[in-house]
Amino acid sequence: MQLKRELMVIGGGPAGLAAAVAARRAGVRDILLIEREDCLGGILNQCIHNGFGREIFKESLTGPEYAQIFIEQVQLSDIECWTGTLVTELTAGKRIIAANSRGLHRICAQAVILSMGCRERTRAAVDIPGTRPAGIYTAGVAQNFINLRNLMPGKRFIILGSGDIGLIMARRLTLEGAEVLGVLEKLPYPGGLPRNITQCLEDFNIPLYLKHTVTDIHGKHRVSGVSIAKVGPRGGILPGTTRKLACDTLLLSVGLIPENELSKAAGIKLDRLTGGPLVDETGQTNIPGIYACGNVLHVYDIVDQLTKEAEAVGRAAACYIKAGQSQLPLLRVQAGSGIKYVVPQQISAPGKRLLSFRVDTPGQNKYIVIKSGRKIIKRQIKQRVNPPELIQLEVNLPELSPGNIIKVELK
Amino acid sequence: MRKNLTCIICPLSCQIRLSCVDKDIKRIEGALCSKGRRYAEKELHCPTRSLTTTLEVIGGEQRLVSVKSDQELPRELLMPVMRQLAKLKAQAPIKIGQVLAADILDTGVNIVATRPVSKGDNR
Amino acid sequence: MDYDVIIVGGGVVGCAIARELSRYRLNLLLLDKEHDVARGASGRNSGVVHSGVQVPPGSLKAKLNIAGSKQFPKLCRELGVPWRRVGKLIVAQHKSELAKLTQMLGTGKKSGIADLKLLDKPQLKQLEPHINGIAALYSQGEAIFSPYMLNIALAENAKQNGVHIKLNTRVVGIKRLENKFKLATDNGSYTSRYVVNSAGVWADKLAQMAGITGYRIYPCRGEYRVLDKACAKMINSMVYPVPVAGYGGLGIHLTPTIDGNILIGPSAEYVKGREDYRTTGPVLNKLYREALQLLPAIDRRDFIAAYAGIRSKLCRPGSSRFTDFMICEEPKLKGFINLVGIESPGLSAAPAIAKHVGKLIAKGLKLAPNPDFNPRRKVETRLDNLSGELVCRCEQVTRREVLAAINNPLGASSLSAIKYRCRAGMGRCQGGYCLPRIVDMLRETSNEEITFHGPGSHMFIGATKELLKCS
Repeated sequence: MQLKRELMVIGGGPAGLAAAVAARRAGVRDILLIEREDCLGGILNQCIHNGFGREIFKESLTGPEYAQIFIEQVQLSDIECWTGTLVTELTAGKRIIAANSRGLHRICAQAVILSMGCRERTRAAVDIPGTRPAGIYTAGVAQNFINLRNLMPGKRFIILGSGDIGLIMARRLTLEGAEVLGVLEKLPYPGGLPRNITQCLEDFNIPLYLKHTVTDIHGKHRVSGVSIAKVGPRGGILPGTTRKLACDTLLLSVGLIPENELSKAAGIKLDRLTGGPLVDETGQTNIPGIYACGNVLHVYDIVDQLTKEAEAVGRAAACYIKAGQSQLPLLRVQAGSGIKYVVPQQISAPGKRLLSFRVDTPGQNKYIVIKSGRKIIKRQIKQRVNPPELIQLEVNLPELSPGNIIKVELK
Repeated sequence: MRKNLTCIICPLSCQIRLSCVDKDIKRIEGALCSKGRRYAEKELHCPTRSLTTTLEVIGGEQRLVSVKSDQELPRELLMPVMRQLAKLKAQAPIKIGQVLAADILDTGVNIVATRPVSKGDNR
Repeated sequence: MDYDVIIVGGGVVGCAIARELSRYRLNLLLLDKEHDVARGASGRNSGVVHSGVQVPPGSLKAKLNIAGSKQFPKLCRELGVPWRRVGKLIVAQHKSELAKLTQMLGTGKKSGIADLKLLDKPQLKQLEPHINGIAALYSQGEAIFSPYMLNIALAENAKQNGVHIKLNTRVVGIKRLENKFKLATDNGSYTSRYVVNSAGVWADKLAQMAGITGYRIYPCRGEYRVLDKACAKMINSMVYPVPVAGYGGLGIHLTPTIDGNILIGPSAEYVKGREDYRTTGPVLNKLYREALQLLPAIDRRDFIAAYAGIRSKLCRPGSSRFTDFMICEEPKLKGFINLVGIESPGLSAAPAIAKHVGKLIAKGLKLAPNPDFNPRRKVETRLDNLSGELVCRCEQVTRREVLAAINNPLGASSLSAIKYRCRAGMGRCQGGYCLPRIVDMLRETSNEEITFHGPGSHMFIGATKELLKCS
């Protein structure tokens, strides 16, 4: 038997919740939100620290509080939610197969919003040699055990990776009575926000080792220590700088990858730079009627931005359902020199368009230059640019000449 | 005396440069909003921080409830408060915002739930 | 209890022998020092049923390899272990290697392997469009399977047929009594008429406990990388380089696994530690480089794991001499059967080794058929149609399958034991998604400490805030 819905939202984290509510408000009656966990809210449920919601709610909320606001909106708008349900297949024809304790379900929809979030990179992604004992955790998994399952993974930690998750975990572990010997970062600058360096590391005297990495893992059954070494300017290990640190746990906070296995299988084209689908300004992928929002698209650093954009995607999906069609992309948007990636990668309609992008190295007093073809359409100076901080700029594109390329550059 | 601070009020993380005499700010640069000055003043005299953690739950659907301090705590009290919280448990059902530990360590600060927990068997 | 035969070592060879002997009315005991079977070389290899083309004709290795590989289809069917013929290509990259291919074709034919042929470049490209090479020797009959699944299945079937299996039991001494042996372990002592030494990399040490000093094993490590299932379509067959004499292995090759990954490896490096399963930076880089030569389409981002195994070599470092399997009842110690130097193609030969050992034992014990012997393993089959809650997303493992793995017949309890049985945690996220769920399931079923791979490998130090209580 096949069920039919107007709109299916895959993933009930902050992006899926916001998109579903926005679509409902834009008039979509028949929405099904599918979430693999037993409760809605996604990763926010384990992000018990505060700092969420400053932009939208003008206060500093914790992850669960932020999620709860949207969970209540979903419940009030009477959106059908299937929790404990994993989507195992998606086709270009907008049909899915979902598995839960009641069995397998086949559902088709007029439009689909992808909001599956992201997953953590693992040891293999950073190629750390050594033994394979217990005591090697990705930061998010450790956060899950500590904050949701009441299990403490270890006593003495080394954290590899200075992204926000690594920093937040350094503080969390310290508060729980564990010892964090240090946070290591292979780059010459930290991966997380400066305020997290202050309140997560400096407040607790946790050393941050820039230009350092883990080169070996020791211990047969449980981690007994790691070797760390300095990283040279070209990314190689500097000879003679290796030393061994005794610890019982290694936490890896080495990056996030948008979760696009379903998208790939459906034939959705991905951007190698973001790891997420190629989308236009409405969040539409190369398959008309399939949209993407949230961390499945690119990894955000602030949930408020993610929410706002997910809401816009929800509204765009609602328009598509009403109109039964959408506009095709006319322009490409490219990351030029100094820019790591830019989203959206395509523009379908003229108007004011918000571009989100990251620089690839930190810098001061830099110009962001946005060109349409050879013409500079925007130029803005930034006192400080930092890869962990997403930059958003609006450009006015009153008319689109097809085939033109919009390029974002850092000068 | 010159001092550099990173404002932790919002993700912008303003780099504040201070010139001060005996904890009195004479000049402040780099803060993009007025909150930055207030933060800097507090940081010089008595740094305070919010605390977020969990409490063990009895008879709930979840094993833990996430909690926060409803006001900021003096920074040096974070660990003493954590040690105090290690002795406490919360009984389900719990409402979001419910006070689970009032006036913790006589600070006037309450520890409140940041998520609801319904009754259950904790698995 | 007095046993007829005690088998020391729960690798694929030990378990195959146990299962083979369970066809007869015998009191059998299998001991392993680890918390599960397949913890040594049997669980750390390429998972290939070799046809015998890479071993010298006439040797015991060749004989048992060829005989063993022929038994695989039936054996795997009986035990419910997936197995698939994919064929093997030995690929020449340079003209200088062509002569070696022709020579190997000759050797193979001499050994009686019929389905061998030489492929020219267009034929190779047709078969393997992504592979670099100028010619290849194609051995169509070769197959892949899951080595640890076979090992586990053999052990489970042996147990089902009456073999006692004691895990976490390390032999510490062997005494010759009149007509029997007494094995002292860290978990009780046991007596038996026959002892089968299938202790793998420790076989020489075990022989020494019985007073036999003539063997010496040289541990030789092989490291592997595992590629994401997304790469599965890059190759159809196993892809080997032309072997180099004295390398200590078959060369770094690409092997599709029965579960859809691709393995790169193994390296060959003599090491001191017999269980030094470390991976090392230089070797991991070398694996990547050499694999790129064969398959330029590999992307670093598709590596999902790395591991290492140790070969039990009888051949000393630096020597390129061929060394054969040593399988015999010790002439000076009747009833003591040594299996030493069982390295590749030990896995392919295992079914034949088991029969061979059976014959050795038949010389001393009367073997009456066990009327209750059932060659079929009771198995909770992997569901063809996914149904129910999925615990592991990458490998699509259901809650029911994980529960079956938790309650496995051998009683092996660890996250690795679960992983090897149902594949939960073996995918691209390496447990990021399923680990918390499996931990929940383990906490629901028992209060035992949750370990990664048995005693000493605890995953947690306790509940949160316990560290605050003691400070």
